[in-house]
Amino acid sequence: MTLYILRRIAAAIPVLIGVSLIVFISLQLIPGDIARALLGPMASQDTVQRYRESLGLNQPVPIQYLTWLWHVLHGDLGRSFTENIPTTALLAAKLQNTLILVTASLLLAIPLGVLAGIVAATHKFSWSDRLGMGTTLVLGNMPTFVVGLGLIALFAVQIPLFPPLGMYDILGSGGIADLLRHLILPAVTTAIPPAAIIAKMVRGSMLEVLGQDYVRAARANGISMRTVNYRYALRNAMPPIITISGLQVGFLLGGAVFTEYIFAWPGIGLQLQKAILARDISVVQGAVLIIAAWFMLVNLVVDVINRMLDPRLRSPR
Amino acid sequence: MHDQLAQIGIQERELSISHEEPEHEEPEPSRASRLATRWRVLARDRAALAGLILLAVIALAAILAPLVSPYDPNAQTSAVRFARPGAGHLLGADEAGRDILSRLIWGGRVSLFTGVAPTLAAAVISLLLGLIAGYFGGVLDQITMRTLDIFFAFPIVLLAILFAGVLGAGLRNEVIVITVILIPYMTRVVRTATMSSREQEYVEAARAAGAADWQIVLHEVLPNVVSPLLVYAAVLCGLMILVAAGLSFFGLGPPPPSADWGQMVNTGKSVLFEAPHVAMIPSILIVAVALAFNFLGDGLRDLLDPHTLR
Amino acid sequence: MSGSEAAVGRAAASNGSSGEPLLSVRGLKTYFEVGAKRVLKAVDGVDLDVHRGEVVGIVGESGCGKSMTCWSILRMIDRPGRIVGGSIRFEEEELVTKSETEMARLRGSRIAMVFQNPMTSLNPAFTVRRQMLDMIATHDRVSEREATDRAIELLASVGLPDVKRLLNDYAHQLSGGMRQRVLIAMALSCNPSLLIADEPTTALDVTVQSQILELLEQIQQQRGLSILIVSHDIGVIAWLCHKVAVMYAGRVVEAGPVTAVTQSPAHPYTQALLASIPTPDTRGRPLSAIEGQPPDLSRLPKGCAFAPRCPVATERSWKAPPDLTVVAPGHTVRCVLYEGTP
Repeated sequence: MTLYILRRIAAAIPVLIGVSLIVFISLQLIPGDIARALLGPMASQDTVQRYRESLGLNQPVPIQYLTWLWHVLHGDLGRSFTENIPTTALLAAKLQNTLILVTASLLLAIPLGVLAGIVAATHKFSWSDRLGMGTTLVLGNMPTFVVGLGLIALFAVQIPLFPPLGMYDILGSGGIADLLRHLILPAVTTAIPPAAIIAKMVRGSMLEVLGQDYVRAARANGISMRTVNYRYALRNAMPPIITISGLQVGFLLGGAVFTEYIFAWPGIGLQLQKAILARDISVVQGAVLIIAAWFMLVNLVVDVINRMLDPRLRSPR
Repeated sequence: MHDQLAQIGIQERELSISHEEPEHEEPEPSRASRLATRWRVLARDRAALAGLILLAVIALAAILAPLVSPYDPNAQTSAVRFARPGAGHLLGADEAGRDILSRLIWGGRVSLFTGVAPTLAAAVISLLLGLIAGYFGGVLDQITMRTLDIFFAFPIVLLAILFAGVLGAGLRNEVIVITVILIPYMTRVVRTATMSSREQEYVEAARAAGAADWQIVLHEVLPNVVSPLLVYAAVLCGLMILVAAGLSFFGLGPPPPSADWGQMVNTGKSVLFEAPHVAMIPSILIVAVALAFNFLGDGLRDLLDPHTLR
Repeated sequence: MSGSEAAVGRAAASNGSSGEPLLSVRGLKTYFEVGAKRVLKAVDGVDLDVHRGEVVGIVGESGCGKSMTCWSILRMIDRPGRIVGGSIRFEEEELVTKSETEMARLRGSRIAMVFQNPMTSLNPAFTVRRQMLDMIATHDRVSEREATDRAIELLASVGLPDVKRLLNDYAHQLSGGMRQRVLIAMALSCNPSLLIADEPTTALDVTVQSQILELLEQIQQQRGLSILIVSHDIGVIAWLCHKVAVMYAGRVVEAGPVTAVTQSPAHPYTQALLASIPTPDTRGRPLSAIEGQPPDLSRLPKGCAFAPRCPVATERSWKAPPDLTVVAPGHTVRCVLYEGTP
């Protein structure tokens, strides 16, 4: 197993290098002179030239990439010129807030999606299955920003239960109760579309397992439906469920960017949006790199868990 | 797999299709009758049909915008600011007193275009890439696939935001960005379909008969690749409408005053408290169109599946 | 109907059992409503008796309703299928009207089943121990230790080697024959009075097939178990059974003691079925196959379902389903050729 994990990590390294290349190169695509674009039309030619040199832009592109990569590997993502602090420090502070949001959403999306999928599968073609799958279809096709605005319109405007925005300082004076109050709407928003997709996929893989011979055999042996559904079938449907949930984490990370923007949640996504509009390149690079690396890590963990769950791979003879 | 229906010799898919007409064993149905059969299959699939009709209506309205739009989409009438849906303005008016229905109709031009055009462009490019990688295999295939793997490491929305962010806002850039992020996904589908059809016996036979590679690809492989790509493209169209709306919502779409749906939601966001309908109406339309493409994709899959044709 | 009740099975006679049979199926109908107007009559009026200590076989082509009869007895017909008529009496209780909870309690404890495909009938994610203990714990309140001891004893009794290690194995670590032995051990774990075996050897290698059949025979004799066995292979039936029912298109077309049916088959279908088995006598000659296809169960002909393929069908065959006729004591047939004969 350790060997497998090491092999998986080794395989991830070239992909990670590729990811860093894409992030780096995409910023070369900025039309015109980056330094000029950053400094604006008011800056003098002399200032632009000095700025170019300070960014290392006078060097050949491959050298620029290697220099940048070298710094990134040492935890130096450059300097945010809008906030005028090191990008790493800026993003580290935001990362924590995003982590809170994403973790809360995952804790909602995965159990909710899995449970709904199982209930639908075990009540195949009943009205609750049809209703559930119809809802799932609609919710799964909703972009996060529509869900978010819908929830605000409903729960902050029509029935004012929760504050629509105003999470400025997570660890501020409000304490945990305040955090939760502000967290609920954003977390639900981010969780709904992935939860719907998870539900749909879980239903599918459960139905497949429920049609297997060993499930019928267990029923014919008198094992109760509850045990058959929740232990025998679920255990075997686990690998696809975990894979789907892992994929949805990526979806969820993308959605969280929108949620943060809508709810002014002070995380990486909101920072990314500000940075893009301000052309704060090092912040854009850093934020994208962090989210992509995160997504890759999730995929790796999913593969490892699935391997651990499979007795064929665990104890071959 | 245990299936009681299979045991008594019946396929699950037969369940949904009622057997009204007796099946005739026609050896080579004419092109016209094949089309007629396909149409019947589609017409029976109510969800796909509803999706098709909705999309046709919206597309037609967008194309004929100057004729059907009740107002100038950018005309501001301060008297009707925040007007609720009603008689004068069917879907109400926004914060600047502009007619929402007219803006939706005109915005449909941009929103449908940013969903459909990149999908078509990406389909063509992916077809080329996927056919080459899948048919010739080897190092070329390895390089293509490893490159695509890198793209799969990004959540798709994030990649769109990154590229749109560096290229800057605007319609042309939005189309480029969406095309680029689609290529890896579509290429993978084309490659898989190519590889599986390359292994078929009739391809072997064609090769043995001395057909050139380009002939085999054109006559034997391509027809088998087009159906899965078409189905996938329909589903992706819906998804890309969402992505395009998301980019516009993020401030990365075409600049004002041209109204696209995502941007309408974004401006509506700031007046959510005073007039929720300004953001909600375009939101509903976006979701409806995405769903319509989804239904259409499912319908196409059934339609192009040779099992539904007899 | 009175004909089949006069059962003259070897074991039944030797056991001297009187009164009601262990299992008595009467007029069982299991239909599948697959379309708005399409009803598949998978089982269409089946009568069947299994006495204590008796081995009864059902033979027929695939799709003739023999497996569906078994699943109906266990009341495990999935939608859109449904038992629409008839009665299933088991140990003097009616099963058709029992609740699902009562049926679940009965399955595996009083009626156990051995499955067609041992390769896929064990849960791939759990060890043999887990599956056996689950089964025992479902039906009997025993300690984990007692259950383990019982599992070990059962696994050894079905001829499995190195049982203690085997308990910790997963299905993929066992051969097909071993898996079928484990499934048989599981079936026996709660001391059932009836064992239903649905094509227990079909998926196995030829050499393993005979081992499994020997095992079933040995178990039957040691425990005095009643077995209902389904097979498309009349050789399997002839080996194990006392009585046999031949099914065609959801109906029993011929039933009787296995020697009578195999040596003097009455129904043209049974005759054709027997003619299709290779024997030393037919070596070198082409095997006769039954012409044509089994009928569509949703569009059964008005008369005898076998008429379209029958070499001796008469005009009467097409008109109405043939009645049950007794051709010898305990030997019944549904064919117009015998109607009216005493």
